[in-house]
Amino acid sequence: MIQGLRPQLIGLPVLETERLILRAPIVSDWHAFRDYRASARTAFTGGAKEEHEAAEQFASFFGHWVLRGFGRLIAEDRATGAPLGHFGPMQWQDGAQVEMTWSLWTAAAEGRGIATEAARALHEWAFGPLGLTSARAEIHADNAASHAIARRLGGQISPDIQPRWVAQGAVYLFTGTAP
Amino acid sequence: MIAPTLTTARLTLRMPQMADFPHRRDFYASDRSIWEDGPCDALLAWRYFASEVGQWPLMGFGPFSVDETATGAYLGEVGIYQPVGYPEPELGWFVVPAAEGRGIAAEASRAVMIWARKTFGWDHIDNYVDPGNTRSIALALRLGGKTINAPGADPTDMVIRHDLRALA
Repeated sequence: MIQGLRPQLIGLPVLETERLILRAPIVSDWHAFRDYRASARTAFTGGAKEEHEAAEQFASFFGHWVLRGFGRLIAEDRATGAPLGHFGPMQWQDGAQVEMTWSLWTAAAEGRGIATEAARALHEWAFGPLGLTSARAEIHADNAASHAIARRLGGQISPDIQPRWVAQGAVYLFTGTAP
Repeated sequence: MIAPTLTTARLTLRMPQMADFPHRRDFYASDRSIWEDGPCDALLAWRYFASEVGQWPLMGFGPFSVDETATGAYLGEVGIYQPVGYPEPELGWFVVPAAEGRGIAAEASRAVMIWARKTFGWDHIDNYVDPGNTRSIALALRLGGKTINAPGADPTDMVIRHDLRALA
């Protein structure tokens, strides 16, 4: 980082929930993301990655915001300020259906309904202010916690749609009508 | 932070945008990318492209897309890159096949080096080049670069250093 410069993404949405603030990624999220990406928690999302690959993915979050005008939000713990995970829409190819992604970065963040709280806020933003009319999520067959979130958001499994990158996965479709 | 717009005799250097991606995708699909971790599929090419563009908000520098001013045609990408693992910011370049042999990368690189000197006050900037990438090595030397013994992005990289002190 260049001394004296404060390059950051600006003018971006901030979503507030009871326990969380969801905001665009910032430079100081890096170490938490790197540790997550190196951990066994990535078993359902491509596996553990070396630091340079994690950095590439982290930088691509920023590039996605710049190029598309939307992207992954980082859920921050209101009480501690710690980044807990990423939640957000991504679209890697023009015209492709937007994909919803979510991941909690540490085991310590689990078991309190954090992911569901963040995913609901994401869903309301994506189908509200952002203006999506449909989206998908690809979820590994064994990732039970993630399947539960997709169902809570009103996602329907579409057996006819092949997953793009989670080979042993199911594709959920969302239309913005959460139960 | 996004890229400023720089102009040279023939070129306009500007912030990359989504419409530039097909050129990068085609490059990464071809054997021309063998010195740049390619070839690879469109999905990985998107990851590379987005992570390069993401350098702007992260680092305050990054890639410029290069347009021919007269026609608006996209000719390539020249910029400054420092992903994790790079010891220093690196000067890098790419041109589409139709733009090869016209001095486009050299002209754009000079503008980027002047901008870097003016903006950051750096004394030098390096290229990290695979020893087999003879075209890039020739260009780096033509731009006045000198081979030095320093670490690059990969252990086998040639490091070619450009002295920026005479600029701006």
